Parts: sequence; structure tokens; C-alpha cells
Amino acid sequence: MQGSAVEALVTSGLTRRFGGRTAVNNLSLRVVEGDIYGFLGPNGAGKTTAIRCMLGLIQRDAGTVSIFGETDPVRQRAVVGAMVETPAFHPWMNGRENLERAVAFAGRGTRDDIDRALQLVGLWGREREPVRQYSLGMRQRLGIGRALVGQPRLLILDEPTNGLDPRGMREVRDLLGNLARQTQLTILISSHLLSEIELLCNRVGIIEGGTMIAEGTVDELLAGKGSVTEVDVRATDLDALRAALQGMAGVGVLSGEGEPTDGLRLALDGVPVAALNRALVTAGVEVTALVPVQRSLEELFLSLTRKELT
Amino acid sequence: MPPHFLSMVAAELRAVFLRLSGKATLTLAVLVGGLCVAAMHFVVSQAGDAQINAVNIGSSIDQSWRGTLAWALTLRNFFVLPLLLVLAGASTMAGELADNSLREVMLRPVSRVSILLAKLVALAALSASSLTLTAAVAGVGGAAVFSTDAELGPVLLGYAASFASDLGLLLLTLLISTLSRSVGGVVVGIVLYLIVDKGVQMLLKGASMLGQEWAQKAAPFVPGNALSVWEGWSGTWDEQKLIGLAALCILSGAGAAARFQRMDVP
Repeated sequence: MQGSAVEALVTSGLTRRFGGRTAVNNLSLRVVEGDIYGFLGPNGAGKTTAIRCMLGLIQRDAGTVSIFGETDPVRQRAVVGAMVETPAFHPWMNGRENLERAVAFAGRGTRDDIDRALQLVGLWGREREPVRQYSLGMRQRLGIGRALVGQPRLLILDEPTNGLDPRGMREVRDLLGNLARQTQLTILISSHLLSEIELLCNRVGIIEGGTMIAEGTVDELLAGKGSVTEVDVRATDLDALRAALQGMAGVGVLSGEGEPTDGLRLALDGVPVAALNRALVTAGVEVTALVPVQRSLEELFLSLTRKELT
Repeated sequence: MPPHFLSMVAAELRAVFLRLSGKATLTLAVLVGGLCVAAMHFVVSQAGDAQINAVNIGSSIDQSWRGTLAWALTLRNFFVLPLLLVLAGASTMAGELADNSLREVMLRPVSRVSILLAKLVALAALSASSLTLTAAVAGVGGAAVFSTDAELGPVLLGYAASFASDLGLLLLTLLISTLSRSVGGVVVGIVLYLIVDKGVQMLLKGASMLGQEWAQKAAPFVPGNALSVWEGWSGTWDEQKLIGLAALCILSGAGAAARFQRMDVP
């Protein structure tokens, strides 16, 4: 996917300062056509500021943004559908009228596109009601529907579940799942819902302090490619196991949350699991279980950002 | 301008005319026309032989459709309609910036200048519609109640000049909207402007009375004076006021466009 794939969104050295504070610092990311890209970071990490820079809503102090090779902000938006945080509408207009307004400014899109978007976001039959009567979840879905009109190739959704109650979050989560399955869109989603991002996205970028601290496919990041792999080792004699590990290169004993009570959690730096197993057996240790630790994206996120999620 | 500029204008027209400020503007425009016809009929019927400065009140009133049109023009420009147009302008710019609905439009493939221009065209259409409604009601009412025995050319030119004044006021409103980003802020800004403007006018008037020729020449260019260019219909058109109004439009429009182009939108 990385080689000759079409680059949907590329930022290079994106920087934005507010007074003395650098909200986005030299941010570079790459989204390839067809990606469902999860843009993660704790509150205040600079995700929304970065997205606003990408969309030309706010000025950038440095860096470039390229969308399908286009660098002109107006032409870029011809292929982008976006929803930034809580979507805003003309509340006295109904849902359909708000989408018609979007089509009028997009300069592309038909009545059929509006119908299709309304059906996709599950508002078909409710589109004639004034938006002021919509629940927060319905408004959020209408916002996603509005991003879909105008035939975009890239969808940028900033915190699409922001401020929603569990039912609303479920609605939007299901909608995003359907979108990913039913459309061929390239999607960038910034979100706190890490478990959903893990299920939805094939690539992830993690940002903290305005800087990208990790980027890659979900599998790459979870496997700790190029870094440390963790395994849980169980043996009949823990003392013999500890003795055998003494002086073994590239193997460290971890302690803390998640550590097995009848074994040890080890960090392997460049040491294959099979090689560890062979070394332990050679040393006379009876290994009863050797299980690679499956880290969730949330655990990875927490270990990278060292911050509690809110 | 984008090729779909007309559909942008149509969308803005819909928003401007459907807002409360838009509906109130059109309603009041009709009321102003009707009220002037009724008021003139009342004054003429009640005046009898009453005189002011030895002049019969009834005979001093232009009892024709031109007269009702003139009264309606004066009344609509006495704060009532201009204030509502300011509210309409503030709602479409500052209001949409405050509630973030303008951001949604700015995510579309159009330049900010074209968005500003679409809004200006829609607001200008609201002004033109209000003037047309006032003129239609006052003219038809005047013709029905009084007479059609008067030439309408000059007073209709006054309505046209009033449209130009409205444009100046709307551009000023758009400029202040980009600075304050709230409807309340725009209203305060316009009030402050009116106070400062009135103060400058008084200073120039005082200086003129003291024989300062420069003050006499400068007075028509003060924005507040320039916005009253429509008053020229009954006498002679003041060229300096027209120039002042043109300068106000250009400076306000350029300022609003420059500010809007550079502003960060949350």
C-alpha cells in the first residue's frame, strides 16, 4: 500500500503557534488512498488544531499540506468532506435544507447525493424536521452526512463522537463502521475511542504536544516492530527460570500491572520468542507456557503518551 | 468567482430572508409605507385651517403619491430600517462566526472573498426588497388616497440613493462583524461609530462656524453625512457626499475582505 499508492493527504513540517505556545510542531503525516487513518492524541495534543490547519480554517506558521497532490486550499477542498468537532447548522432550516446549502456552496452534488447521504446516516424520514428538534446524536450524524455530499474522496472527521452520550456514541460508531465497509473513501478520524479506532482503522498516527510520536499500521504499532516485544513465561520452577535469564542478552524482566502470578513478563529486545524458548530448555528450565503479550491500542497509546484518557 | 457563485447567492438569499431579522425588515418595510399613507391622511383631514408660521398646514403638504413616497423614505431611513439591516448583516456574518455555521461553508471549495460577496449580494437584495416594498405600499396607497398628479422621478432617485446608503452601512457592518465576531459586538460597534461620527460632525460644524474653510469642505465626507446622501432628492445632489459614500464602501469592503481572508476560524 505504501509503495506506488496514491497519497491522499500528506503534511510536512506543519507548525502552528499561538503566542508563545506551539500547538502543532513540525507535524508530518501521510495518509494513503483507501486508508482509514486514526489520528490519536490526548486532550490538548494538537489534533484539532492540526486538522484546522489541514483544512485551511486557520493559518499555519510553517509547513505544507498536500491533498491528492493538490496544494491550493480551495481546490483541495473540492475533494474533501469534513466535520470539525460539533457540527453547526442553521437550526430553523430542516436537515435536508442544511444539506442543500452545503451542496450549493460545494458546487457539486445532486438531489440523489443528498438522499443517499441521508439514508447512509440513518436520517431518511426525519430530514424534513427542523434541526433545532434534532438530538445531539442526530446532529452529529447529519454533520457526517453533510461531509459526504459533494462527492469527496477524503473524509476528515474530527472527534465525531464528541459530547455524545453512550447511545449517541454507539450510533456514530455504527455509522462509521458502515461507512468504512460501504464506501471507498479515504478517511481520517481523530478520536478518543481507541478500541473503535483499533477496529476501524488500518493506520494510526499518535500525536502529543503537537508532535507525531508514532505512525504506522495498527499491526506494526501493536507488534512493536523495531522495538521491544513482551512475552509472559510460565515454568515449573520460577527460581530456575530467573537463574537461567541472568546474563541472557536482549532479555529483561518486567514487573508491574499485568504480570503473571505464576511466571514472569519479559521484554525481548530483538530476541525471537523461539530463540528464548530454546535457550531456556537448554538451560534445563521446564517451560509450561510462553505467550506473547497482545497489547491493545489503548495500552500502546497510554505507554506512549503517559497520560490518562479523559 | 467560482462557477457556482449564483447557487451560493441563492443559498445566502434563503438564509438572509428566512432569518428573523430578514422577516422583520420586510414586515416593517410594508408597515412604514402604510403608516405614512395613514399618517398623511390623518394630518390632512385634521389640519382644517390650522397654520404654522402663517402657512396653511394642508397646503404645505404634498398631497400626492410623491408626498407619501417622500414621507416613507424619510421614515424608513430614520434609524428603523437601517438598524434592522445592520442586524441582518451582523447575523449573517458575526452571528454565523459565533455559532460556527460559517465554518461549515468555509469547508467548501470556495474562496473566502466569494463567500463575503455572496453575503453582500443577499443583504443588498434584502435592502432592495425593503425599499421596493416601502415604495410600492406608499406609492399605491398615495395614489389611492391622494392623487397621481406629480412626477415621481426625483423621489424614486432618492430611493435609489437610499439603496447606495444601505450598501455603505452593510459593508461597514460586515467589516465590524469580522472584527467583533458577535452580533452584540457589532451593535455596540455601530453605536460607538455613530457617537464618534456625530462628534466629528459637530466639531467640523463648530470649526466651520469659526470660519475654518477646510472644515466646511471636509464635513460632507464624514461617513455619517455620506450615508445621508439620499436626502439630496428634494434639492440638489451633494457630489462630495457621493464621493464620501463611495470611499466608505471601498474602504469598508476592502477592510472586511482583508480581515476575513486572514482570520482564524475555530
